Amino acid sequence: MQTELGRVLDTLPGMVFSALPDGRIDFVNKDLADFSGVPMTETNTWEWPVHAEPPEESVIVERFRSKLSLGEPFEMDVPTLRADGESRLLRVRCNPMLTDGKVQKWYGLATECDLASGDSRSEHETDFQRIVDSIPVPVAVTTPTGDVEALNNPALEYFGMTLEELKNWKAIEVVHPEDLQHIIADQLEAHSTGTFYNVESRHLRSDGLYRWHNVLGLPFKDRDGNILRWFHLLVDIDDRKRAELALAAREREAQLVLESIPAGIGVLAPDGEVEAINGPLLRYYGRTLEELRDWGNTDVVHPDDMPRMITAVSDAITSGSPYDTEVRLRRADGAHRWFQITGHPLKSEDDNIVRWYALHVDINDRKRAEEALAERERESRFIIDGIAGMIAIFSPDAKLIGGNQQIIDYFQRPIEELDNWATNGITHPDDLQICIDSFMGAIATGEPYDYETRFLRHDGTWRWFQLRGLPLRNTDGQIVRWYGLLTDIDDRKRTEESLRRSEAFLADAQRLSKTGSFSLKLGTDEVTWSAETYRIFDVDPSAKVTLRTILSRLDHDSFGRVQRVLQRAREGNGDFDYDITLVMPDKSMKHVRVLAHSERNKDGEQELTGAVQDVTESRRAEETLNEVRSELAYVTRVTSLGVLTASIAHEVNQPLAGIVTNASTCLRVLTAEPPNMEVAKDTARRMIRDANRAAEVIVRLRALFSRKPPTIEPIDMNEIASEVIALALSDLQRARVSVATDFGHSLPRVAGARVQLQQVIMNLLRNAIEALAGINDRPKQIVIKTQADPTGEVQISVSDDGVGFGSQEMGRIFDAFYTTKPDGMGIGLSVSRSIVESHNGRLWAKANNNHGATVAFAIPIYEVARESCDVEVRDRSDSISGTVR
Amino acid sequence: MMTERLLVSVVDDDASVRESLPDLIRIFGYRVRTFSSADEFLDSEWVSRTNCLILDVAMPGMSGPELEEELIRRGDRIPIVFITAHKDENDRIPLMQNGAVACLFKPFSDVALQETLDRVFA
Repeated sequence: MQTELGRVLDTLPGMVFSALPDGRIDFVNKDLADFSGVPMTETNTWEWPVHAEPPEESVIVERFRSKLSLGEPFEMDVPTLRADGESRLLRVRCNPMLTDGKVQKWYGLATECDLASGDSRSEHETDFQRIVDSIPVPVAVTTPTGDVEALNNPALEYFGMTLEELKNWKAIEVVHPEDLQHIIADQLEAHSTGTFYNVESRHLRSDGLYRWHNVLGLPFKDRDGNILRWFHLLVDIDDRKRAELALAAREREAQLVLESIPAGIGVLAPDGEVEAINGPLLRYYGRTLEELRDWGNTDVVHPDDMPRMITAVSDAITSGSPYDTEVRLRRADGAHRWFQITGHPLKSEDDNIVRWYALHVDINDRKRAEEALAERERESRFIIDGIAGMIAIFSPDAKLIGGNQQIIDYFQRPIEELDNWATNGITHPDDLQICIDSFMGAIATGEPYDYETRFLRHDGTWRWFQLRGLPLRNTDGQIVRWYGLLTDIDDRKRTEESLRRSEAFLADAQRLSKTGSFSLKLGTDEVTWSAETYRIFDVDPSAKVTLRTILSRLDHDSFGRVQRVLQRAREGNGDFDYDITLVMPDKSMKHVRVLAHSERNKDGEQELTGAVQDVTESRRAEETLNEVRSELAYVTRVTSLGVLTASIAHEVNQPLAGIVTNASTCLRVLTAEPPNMEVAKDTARRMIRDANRAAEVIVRLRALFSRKPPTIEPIDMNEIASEVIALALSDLQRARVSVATDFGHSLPRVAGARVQLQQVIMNLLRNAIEALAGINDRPKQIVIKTQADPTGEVQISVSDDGVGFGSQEMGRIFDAFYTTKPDGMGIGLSVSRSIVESHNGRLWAKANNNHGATVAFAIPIYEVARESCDVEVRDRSDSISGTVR
Repeated sequence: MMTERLLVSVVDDDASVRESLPDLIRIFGYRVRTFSSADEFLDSEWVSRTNCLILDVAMPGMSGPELEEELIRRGDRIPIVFITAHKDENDRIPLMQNGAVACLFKPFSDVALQETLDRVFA
């Protein structure tokens, strides 16, 4: 086109040039080249041959450039050297060609200022017509008002109209109607400013088609600058324009596509600059393209994702390979949604990247679904791992194909090994058969399984498990998996075992204590009994117990009592403690104590629960005990006499000491020379006083034994001996002494005070126990023997094989001050002897052959007993006999 | 006489003993003081002047052996003759353990007492 325009300009009747904004002249037409004699160089540059002195020349060039820099049309005179060497002043008029408001190029027209005009007008016109006709593109010449004055032949050929027809060009649509206004406006503009115009418009060809032309309008002016004519050059640019338009249409279409795609599209320059963003994406962001050009510094990408996004884009820009990343983008309302962004380079034919297209697809729902799924999976894994049991997964053919962490932790073996559970020893040998039967049976039948077995933990301990398995079936009903749950029931099992044991214990304890338990649901009269309760009521344990069963066993009083208890228990909560008497089928009686409590049970039913104790025997024993209790108090007092005697001895010895000392003093002062009668009298007086004191002590001692006159009655010696043994049982046990009895049969009863005789026996027994205290080399045994004497007496002896006493001591054992034991029980024997003698009996002691001693006494039988029942302690301390009669 | 200066103190809660012993002891040729309890003796001015202490074992308050321990604690090494109405040979051994001169069981003879005191002042 340039060359074509150049050709056109060359043919113009005038000197025309074009200049770049910096002042370099890149074109001159033929006229100007001929005028100056300076042709265009090969490199399309042309130096204006300014004819002036060097300083002025540079001023002119400078002025030209400064005019250019103003960007406004201008006019200036330039002295120019003509080709023939003559200097001519040329008036230069320059107009800028603007594109997008910027000066692209200047076009200039130079005329000779001193050019003569008018004198050769017609010739000039003829020339003019000839020249115009020779221009190979359509040229129109118009008057300054726009009327067509002339057309060259190419123009007439193109339009296929006559000059006359074309004069009215504005009306006959020579110019495409869409372009007409725009052309007229440009022409008017050019006219008013006196410059040229350059527009693109469509013109109707003779065949009825509009073709695009670049129309360059140049004004032809007279010397005074008045526009005489306009030259309009029409350069056919239709092919280019159509290509341009097609491209624009495609681009428009592409733009339309971009806009209509329901996904976000970003267009980036090869260097990553944002060039365009489609509507959906702009609307999503709620921002303008301008705002988004600097997206890296905005919050449109989630802060957590921004670095990744920037890296992805910059890596792609650097490497030229596509990128694909998932990030959260901020919606206009502030919400973030997940997008998958895929960036692809668009490459030209020579493989250079022209653009980047980045597709933004909203994957939020998918992402959420993925997250939810992952969460569910994690959760279910968590649940499986969190289950307090082990999960095993089997294939339909019973192969273990999976398990949770717990199962691996428990065995600490891999799943593949656990599959050999039947052979690798992890199943308890005793349980193996039931495992195989139950499990394989379930596999074979497809029925759920449930059994218990012991499994070997990694540390070598066996623990009980409950194994439950269910098949998972597909829609066709085929089993695809078996899911097994292994629950550790070892503790439960152990609890069951200990419960069973404690129930057994309880049963034993109930039996031993003759205590049974019961419960009675008051709403339904449903009765539950423990085994011992059955035994107490003497009911067959297999029989069903009803309230009637209970009531039928009660005597009259108990029946009423129980009815009252039941009434109160039905009315509310309470504690009951009552005795009942059972009448057994054999008419024997049982005394039963009942402790019960009524309250609502966990099911909300009013229930009476409690315990029944068979107290028949203990009641009997209690009665017996009550009988002896009164006697026991006295016996206890007497058996503690040994301790008492020590203090009595002390009491007696004090005045005795005084007496002895006084007597000695008395003797000394009386035998002195001269005798000290005063001191003698004093000592004698003190002797009398001390002797009386000693007598008082004795009186007190006697009072101890004569507090209550005991009655004489017929006594069974075996019976009272048995009672004493029973009373001394705890002492015997503590001393680890055993007692053997050798009781005579059918002994006559003796006449005696029961408690006093028991006291004597007790004394002998305790002496024997104490005599055995230091014995460690042989069994500690005491033998108590009773027998009837032919002399009308009953004799009882207590033998021990303890320390005994030497033969020289034998005479002293009944001495009130004599004892072989630290507890000072010596007086015991002397008191015993007093008691026995008060019964007209006799008491003696002898050493045994091997060890120890035997102490015995004999009491006359009742028939020969005297009437006297006074029992006194007699002072027989002077006796040296071992046998007293 | 040299022995005239020697002081025998008697501590016994029993009045019979406190009344009868001084006459006899004076006959033996010693000075004598009686006290009815251990505290009375300890609080008196006679502790340091006592040359021999005749001491009852069982007394209300501080017993005889306790008084002996107290004297040992104070550093008063007075020869002690225990007298007791509780006749038990087994008691004699522990009583003699802390260095008592003798232990006489009541009632004791004048000869036994004289021999004991002679032994103390030998």
